[in-house]
Amino acid sequence: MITQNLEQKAAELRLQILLTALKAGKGHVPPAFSWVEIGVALFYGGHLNIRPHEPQWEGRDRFILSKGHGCLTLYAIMADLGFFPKTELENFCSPGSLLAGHPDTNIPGVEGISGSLGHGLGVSAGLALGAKLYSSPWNVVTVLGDGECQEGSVWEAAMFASHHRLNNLMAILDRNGLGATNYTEQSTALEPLVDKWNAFGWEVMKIDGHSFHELHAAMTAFRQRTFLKPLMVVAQTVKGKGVSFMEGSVDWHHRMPKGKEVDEALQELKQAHSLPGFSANTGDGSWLMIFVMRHFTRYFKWSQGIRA
Amino acid sequence: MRNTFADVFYEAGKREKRLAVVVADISPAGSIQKFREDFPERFVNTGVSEQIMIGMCAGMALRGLRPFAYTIATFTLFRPFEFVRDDLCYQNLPVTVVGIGGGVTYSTLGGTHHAMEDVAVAGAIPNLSIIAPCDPAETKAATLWCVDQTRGPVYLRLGKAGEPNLTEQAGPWEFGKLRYLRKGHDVCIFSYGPIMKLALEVASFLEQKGQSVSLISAHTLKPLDREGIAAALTQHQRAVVIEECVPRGGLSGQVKEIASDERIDCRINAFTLKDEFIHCYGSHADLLSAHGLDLQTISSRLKVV
Repeated sequence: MITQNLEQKAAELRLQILLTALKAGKGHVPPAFSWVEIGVALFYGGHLNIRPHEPQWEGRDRFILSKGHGCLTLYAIMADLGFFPKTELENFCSPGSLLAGHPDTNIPGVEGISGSLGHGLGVSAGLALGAKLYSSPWNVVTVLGDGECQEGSVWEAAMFASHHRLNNLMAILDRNGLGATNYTEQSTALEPLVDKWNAFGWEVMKIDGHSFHELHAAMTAFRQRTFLKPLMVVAQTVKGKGVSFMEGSVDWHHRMPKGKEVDEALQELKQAHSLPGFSANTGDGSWLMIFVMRHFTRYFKWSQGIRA
Repeated sequence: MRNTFADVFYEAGKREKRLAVVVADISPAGSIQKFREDFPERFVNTGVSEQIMIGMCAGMALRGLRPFAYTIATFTLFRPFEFVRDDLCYQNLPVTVVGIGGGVTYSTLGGTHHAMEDVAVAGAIPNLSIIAPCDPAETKAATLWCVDQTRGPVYLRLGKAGEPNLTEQAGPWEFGKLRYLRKGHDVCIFSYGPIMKLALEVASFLEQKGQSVSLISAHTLKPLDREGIAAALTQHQRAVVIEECVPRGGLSGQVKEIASDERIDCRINAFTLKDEFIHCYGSHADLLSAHGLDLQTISSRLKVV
């Protein structure tokens, strides 16, 4: 699929995600928005070998969403691909629904439960090691949150995966810069993340997580490389991407838009959806600068408040 | 028990190629070392990383393997508790979590190495079966059951090495069923795990006092043989529970619960570990004694004339 179509798909999914959350009155929208392009590149860009109508097909690549609270993106993708009927999205978080606020293995195509952070990489490493033992030709892909990397178990798994040369494992780190309540660099700083993963024995790529061009390059490199190391793709993203007032904001983790906010958000997403070739690419890698500038005032006020 | 487990596991590993053992930096005892040498690809040491030991096992089980996570009970169950709960039990994967040194077996190592509440903690998690063999013979049967089962996750609670065989005369071991080691009609004693040795002493004491005693191994703590317990309570005038677990959440409370639910009129005495961290070091028997689990204390409390 050409980049323009992927961008169109991303815009379509963002709208679906918000509508799903609005219907339920629940859901983590901004953490879902930050990895939409990552998800689209994987599931629509030919980088995951899957059969939506045969979810248990033995030869499939295994995908685990370690940052389970970002599940709205996964659900929107899976419904669109036909893992389950689209109507399920309307029942999100309701009694009798297939879809909960975190992924569950009763959903066709969900390989492992998540929701508690720090689990996905370990389970993925176990899958990857199992695949090696049986010489299975498939790969394991997991998407981690950046705040999640404050969990010690992530680093246990990181050491383990590199020690066992699990080069059939790719982790994509949704580096949106925010935990649930704070900038990661303000709670317990994660940087220098690339150096950390390097030091833990991983091959590391740092890319713009909203650029299909860069995502495609990293995911293609994963399949083609002969390295023995697991691959970490640090994808710089913007939490809440697509809705200006959510973007990079400490206030928006699981908050639901209300009143005028709903109209504004829908308008922005619909506009993006209707624009052919709309580019979600922040382009030049000055991601951090952009979001710091944009939110400087808000952040300044917040930090003053903490000191006071 | 540790060595019996290792021997049985090694032999089973020869025929069952899906068996794997995942340890977190613990020196493999006996035949596990042999397993490591003969099947290096199925022996995984995660280092001092218990959370990932459990997470890894989940991943391997998702790939169709039958992993056994193996280390000291406090570190297979308490340290990675939420991983056991979410990765294994929530997903209902056939992984055996082997806890060496259940209870206060590691009597000289201090409270950090005492799994006093393991049965209570494990018993609270849905889907997790609990098996606590009382001697090497039961360990063999239980390990073989774990190797072939597809039911879901199991907490296999073992002692350490050198326990005597107590159950060779008893009938066959069956998962989820009480096992009578001897059968009488006045008093029934329920116990499980290595403390069965003390239960045997109590049984002999009561017999010397003229009582006819049933001694029962409640090796499967979950699912508990409720019907079997109700029947035993009905058939005896008095029941005694002896367990190496804190007072709440173990077997004792459940036996009383069954008596209450089924309205069975049977006098029940429970002897458990105290609800205390006891700063005492010595032999396993010394520690148990500090918790009030010795023949003298139990016999005086039973007040048998």
